[in-house]
Amino acid sequence: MKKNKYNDEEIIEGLRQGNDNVLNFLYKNYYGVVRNMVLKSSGNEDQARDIFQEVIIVIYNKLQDSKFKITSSFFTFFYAVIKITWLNYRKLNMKNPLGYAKDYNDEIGSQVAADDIEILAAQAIRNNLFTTYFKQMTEGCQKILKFYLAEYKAEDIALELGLKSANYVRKRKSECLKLLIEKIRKDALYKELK
Amino acid sequence: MNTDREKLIIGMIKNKLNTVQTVHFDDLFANDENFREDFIITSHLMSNINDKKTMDIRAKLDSIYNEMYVTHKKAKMIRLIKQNWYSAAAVIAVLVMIGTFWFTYLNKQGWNEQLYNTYYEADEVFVNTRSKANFNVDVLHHGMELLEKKDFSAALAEFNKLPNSLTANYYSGVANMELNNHELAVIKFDYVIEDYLNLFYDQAQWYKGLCLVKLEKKTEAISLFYQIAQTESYFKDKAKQIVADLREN
Repeated sequence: MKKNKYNDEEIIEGLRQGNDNVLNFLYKNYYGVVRNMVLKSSGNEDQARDIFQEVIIVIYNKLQDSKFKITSSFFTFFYAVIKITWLNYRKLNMKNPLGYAKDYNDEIGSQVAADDIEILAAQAIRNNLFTTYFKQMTEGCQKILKFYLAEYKAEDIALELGLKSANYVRKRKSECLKLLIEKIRKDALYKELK
Repeated sequence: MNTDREKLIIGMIKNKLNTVQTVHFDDLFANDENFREDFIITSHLMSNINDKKTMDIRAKLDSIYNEMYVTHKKAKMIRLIKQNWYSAAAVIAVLVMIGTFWFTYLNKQGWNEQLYNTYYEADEVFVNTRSKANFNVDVLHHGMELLEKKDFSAALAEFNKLPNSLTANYYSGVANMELNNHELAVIKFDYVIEDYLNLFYDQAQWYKGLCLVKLEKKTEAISLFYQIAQTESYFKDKAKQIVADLREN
């Protein structure tokens, strides 16, 4: 059921299930704060959207582990991950000699497990890097790799995508994978993340 | 990556290698940096691309974003185009009135007051923490609530309890500007600017510049705004404009 307001438990459970209404609620209520933060610190709209979405996804994935518990309010936790992701993203991109973000304890203090935040923030940045390069590939490459990684047989992929032969699929798949890995490998951000 | 290596990598990720292949994999992984890197990248790719649930969430988020922002922007553009020219005439009339008022008003002020009033716009406050478990959070939260209610002196008293917090120092600078304590505000913003890697860096620089204008420190202000204009700061366009305005005065 679509509601205007959700409590923390409903948000966490809804996000765990990928509920459309909760995702809408999160976008409607939280994206503005994230966008404002990113734009005001030399970021752009695309970066705001990427950071927001990747953080939602890493929290969604983390919530699939039933042992994982958010001990603060959901917003505090979410905003802490957003903030560290963005600060670390900026730091990695700028190759700034200063250390990672260090002032967030002011606001989140001991309520949020700092290790979780750092791990999720690093995952969000890494996922964004991989997804960005994947999306930059041709549609053909994207489809072949998706099918291939989902363990479809080359014969079935050829049939599904209307390609001339299974051998062609194997050849294209290897070329696409190689190209994608090379692009990621050359990315300055990836080098910093290693 | 050649086909054999690719088979080993995918086989390992999918847990389908036999004993001989596993030994071969382990050997390459231990001794070949390129192989190791290929394996790490491919593993990440698989967890990103191959997870249907994650891809579904990604698609839903894209769709919500497009619905909320892209569609909204297009609709707004169409509405703007559809507006008839009576609206345009009304806008022009209002602009003329504002211009006349502004001209009269500005002529009564000094150059610094004029520029300060033109460019100063109070920063928005986002109260974003709600914990009761942490002293710093409570104080910061309370200070920001007071700032939002425009009770600047009370907000300052709260922020002053956190002398080492970048956030508290930044909002303390904002509150001091509102109270016309521009020299104090500069000190607070300087504290924030010292640390390049924080979210208030751009705003602190900009507001410090406006304080310098207010304090009639024209050369320092030009130098700071010029510096901002050379960066990718959110305020770079405004900074270019104010540098031009300052040089005219």
